[in-house]
Amino acid sequence: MQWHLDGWDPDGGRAFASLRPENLELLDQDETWGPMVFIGPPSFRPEPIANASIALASSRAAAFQPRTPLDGRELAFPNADAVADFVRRAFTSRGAPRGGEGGANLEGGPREPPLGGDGAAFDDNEFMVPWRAAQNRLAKDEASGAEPVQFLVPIAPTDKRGITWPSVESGAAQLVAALASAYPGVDHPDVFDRWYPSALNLHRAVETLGLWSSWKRGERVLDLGPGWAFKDVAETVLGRYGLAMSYLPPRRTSATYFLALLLNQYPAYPVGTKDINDEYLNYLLLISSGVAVVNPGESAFLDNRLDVLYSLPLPFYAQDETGLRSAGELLMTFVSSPGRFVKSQPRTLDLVSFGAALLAANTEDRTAEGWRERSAQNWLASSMPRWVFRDDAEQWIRGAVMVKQMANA
Amino acid sequence: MAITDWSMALAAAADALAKRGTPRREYLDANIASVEQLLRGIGPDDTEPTDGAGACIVVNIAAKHVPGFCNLSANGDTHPYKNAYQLGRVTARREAVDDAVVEACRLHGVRIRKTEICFAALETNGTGIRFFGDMCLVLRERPPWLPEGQAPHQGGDFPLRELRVLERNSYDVSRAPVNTQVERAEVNGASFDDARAEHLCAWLGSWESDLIDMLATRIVQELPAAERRWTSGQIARAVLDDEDYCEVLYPESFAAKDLAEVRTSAADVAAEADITNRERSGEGAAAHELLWRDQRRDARRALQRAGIPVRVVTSHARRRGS
Repeated sequence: MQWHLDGWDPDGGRAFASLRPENLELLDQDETWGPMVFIGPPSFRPEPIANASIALASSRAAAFQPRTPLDGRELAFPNADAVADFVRRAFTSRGAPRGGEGGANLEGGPREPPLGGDGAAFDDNEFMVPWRAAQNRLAKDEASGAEPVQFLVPIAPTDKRGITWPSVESGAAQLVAALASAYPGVDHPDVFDRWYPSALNLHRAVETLGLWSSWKRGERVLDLGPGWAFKDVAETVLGRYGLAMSYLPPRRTSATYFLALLLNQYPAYPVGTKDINDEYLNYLLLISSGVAVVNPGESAFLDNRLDVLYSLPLPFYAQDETGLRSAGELLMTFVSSPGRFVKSQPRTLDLVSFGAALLAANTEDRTAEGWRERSAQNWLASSMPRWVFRDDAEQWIRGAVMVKQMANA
Repeated sequence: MAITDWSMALAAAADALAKRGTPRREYLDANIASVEQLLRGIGPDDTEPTDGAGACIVVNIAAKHVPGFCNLSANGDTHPYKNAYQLGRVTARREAVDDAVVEACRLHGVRIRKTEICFAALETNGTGIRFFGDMCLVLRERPPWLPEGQAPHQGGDFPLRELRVLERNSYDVSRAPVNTQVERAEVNGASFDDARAEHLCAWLGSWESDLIDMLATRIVQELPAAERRWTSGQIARAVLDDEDYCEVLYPESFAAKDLAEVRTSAADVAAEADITNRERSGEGAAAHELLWRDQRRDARRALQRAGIPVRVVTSHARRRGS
């Protein structure tokens, strides 16, 4: 016998499951059947249930479905822990889209993924190796409905010389380049007001990870290839208004300062004033050159970091590839359904790494090399799948089956 | 089996306890009076019910569903809260139990269609059936013994005298040991469905006239028969305890305007706070924990927009929070 769902609210993350023969109704329970458990948030740990009546009642007293699927062969699991992980992953997956994510429009950002530059040597991510290995074990064992998986491999890839890719910085630089490129101008306050909250959140998030400070001190910003360098982005923005970077002193940090100000400042003009972009951008350029005295807003506190991630739009290439809109949606979708990302661009997982690091950034040892990637790894270890399931169950986790069933209803 | 006279059932249960020698009958009678006071929402030295206290009808749903429920309510949907039939999630076997519930009601002289029953629960000051959801929706429906004018508006036009309560989960009719009795009755010539309906009929009572005796009958068999007074918390826990509860056959549906309040447990509030603390201290609250916390926040916001208070219940019969 295996474990089956006797009542499941996928969106609410609640389920009853029991050890029993497949495709039999819970009403027929006999003495040979095994125990029953309840699974629910926030722990998603199986709790024993004494009387199956509560499971039966769930399907008519709340948004529980009595069996999964409603018709056809039931999903089966090897143990209660696997059921719990299924319910937890489905809850996370279905909670990932919030609507209205990444409010800013990204017109003007780089369209091609960052495939060259420093990242050229890091074109594979061994973080997906455990997932692939578990899938292979599952393919070889026809009797198995699920295989355990552990993500102990660091999310930052390592090259042949043992150098670790700074994946968190890569994610941050991508988001900065994409959002700064989309600077909408300030002569349309309504458009600017949609872009600005995302920009401010991104600025604060990047600083929470200590990156603005590092870059402004003169640390070299990662080279992500053509179109992604901060200097290229600054020139793109200024070029739209007939301005040029040549106005700035030729320091390494000039473009970094300019982008930090662009994301972090708000124009002090009366609402509706037209044609103020030149003046505003010139002002930003001016204070960008005054590096010794300007240090705006780096200590801002992030209240709800997950909300912040949901406000950050993904670069074009990542939106096209994943069908997702924001860094928050990407992170939640990734940890619930990593199988969707097996063939992703190598730099997409850097965006995941950035989000994970932000959620666990208050680590004690922020001076050790690679602390950001370790923070990301630690956070992901608590959220990634503990079980890999067969395709039918993985489809349920993604929500595809339910959408289809409801469409047919 | 026939319709239960709950007054006689209570007297019989009390007599049976008294015959065992302990406790003294005075204690038993005083404790039964406490059950009535708690269900009516009357304090030990009061004569009138306290607003917001006493027996109530509750439905638990997960926080994730609350904004949708509020939106449907605001948009004038006829069934903002949807039962299994409205959601299209009924299996034939389980539907047969609903048929038996309908038949039991018919034996009680009440006509109700299975597709229109909201299976709610009876509660006092607790947070309902946590398995079904972390948000306990408390309906405005109030006991009929409130003086005229104090009884708030009821959602539908269903006459209160028609409201029926089962003193246990109706699915117990298909579980051990009752299912064995049902099968035995079938062997003796009764139809399976009739045998089920007969059992359910014996568990059924009227909200208006049977509730106190029904609950007192249940509670005297659960709480310790000692020469001590039961506490409000003990009685409240006996009304709805973990998996065990009384089923209320609420008609049709209800909307946000029909809610008196929404309750949430102190344990869940503590878990939320713990998640936020761990997030801020960098201990890395997991993805599912963060989502759950945010869904609860979104639920509270939706309820606030709908003008419904959310209260934290620290333990049964003990409320805190705004």
